[in-house]
Amino acid sequence: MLRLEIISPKEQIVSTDAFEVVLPTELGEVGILSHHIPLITHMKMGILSVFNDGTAERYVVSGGFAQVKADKVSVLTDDALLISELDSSEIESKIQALEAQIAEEASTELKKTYVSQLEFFQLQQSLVAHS
Amino acid sequence: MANLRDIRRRIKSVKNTRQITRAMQLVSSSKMKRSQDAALAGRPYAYVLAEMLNTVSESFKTSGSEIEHSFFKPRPVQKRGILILSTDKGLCGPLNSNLFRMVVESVDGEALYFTVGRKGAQFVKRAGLDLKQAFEVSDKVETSEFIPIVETLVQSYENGAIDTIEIAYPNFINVLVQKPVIQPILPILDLDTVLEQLKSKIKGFTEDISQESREIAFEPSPNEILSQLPSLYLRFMVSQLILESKASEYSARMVAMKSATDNASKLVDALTLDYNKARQAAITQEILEIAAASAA
Repeated sequence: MLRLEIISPKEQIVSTDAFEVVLPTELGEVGILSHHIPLITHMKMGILSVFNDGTAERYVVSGGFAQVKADKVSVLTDDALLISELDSSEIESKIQALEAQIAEEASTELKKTYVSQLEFFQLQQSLVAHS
Repeated sequence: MANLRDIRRRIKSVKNTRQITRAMQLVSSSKMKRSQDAALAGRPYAYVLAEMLNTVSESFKTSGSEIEHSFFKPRPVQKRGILILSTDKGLCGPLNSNLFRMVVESVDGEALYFTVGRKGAQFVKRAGLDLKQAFEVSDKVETSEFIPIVETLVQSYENGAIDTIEIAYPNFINVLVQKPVIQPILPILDLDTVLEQLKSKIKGFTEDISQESREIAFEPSPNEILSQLPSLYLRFMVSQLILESKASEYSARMVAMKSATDNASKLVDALTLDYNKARQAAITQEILEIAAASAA
């Protein structure tokens, strides 16, 4: 068994046991099973899946880093949400707010942050639309 | 014997003050709870992040190759860059003055200052120190507030205006104790100490006993990881330390306001005693006068 921890700067989002964890990395999806070699990887925005005998939980994550060490998977990300719990109206309003912020923001660094947040919500939107 | 009306007036004014300090105490205690939770919640993230960074830099060291990233390269320190995290408002006990005294005592040589909070900016200007830029951050510590700070710091670091980035802030130990410290952030030299500090701060922290002896893999590559981790680390450390200083601020203010309220209560008690004594004396005086008049 693996131990999965998804941590954001604001809270510990997930702490659970898992049989398999699939991470969205830059080189494609990486499946982590027990006894995986130690690994540090950069995750891109995408879907992180957690498998436990027969059940699968899918999270949408905003990118970040993951560390696999001694059967413990620590995921650092700004945000992770269960896809089944996404709320389309909330996402819609967030997107609108962010678009307004991007339009009036001059600072490049801040703009980049807003743009990546916007992309994250757009991904959520498309996931809700397809489910 | 003091005038009855004067005493009554003083009692009233002390009671008014007590009402204000009590209100401020209640407000800070609820804000304290929130900011404390936020500060505590960020610590596990900080730990894992520092651990990852440590693993990457260790693996570079063991393979004997040089780390190219400018955040890791120490250079002769001509000018230190110090970010002071202070409060916007006063009435928080000796929190700010302790911090400023520590800065004055421990910084000799040239330094360039950046500040968060109005009190810090005032201090730097008044002390005649070199203030580069002053920022203000609300209680929520929004992304839009701390990213400009990080951007300014990194720019000054990269263009050689400063050779270190250090953060002076009141470290939140518990509600009663806040210790001013200067935390070196860049260059990243001593991650082991950072890890040790974080370990002692995280409640119920358990070290992984299962040691991993296999060689660690990096994807896509160690260089790729190293190009992105340090800036995330810097950005997160700045926001985390701001949160901690907010937690310190509200704890200090709550404690200061609580003792002010207690003090006011004590004062009211003492004044009431005086008032009653004076009233009694006046009555006795009157009776004496009447008795003396009827005897005559």
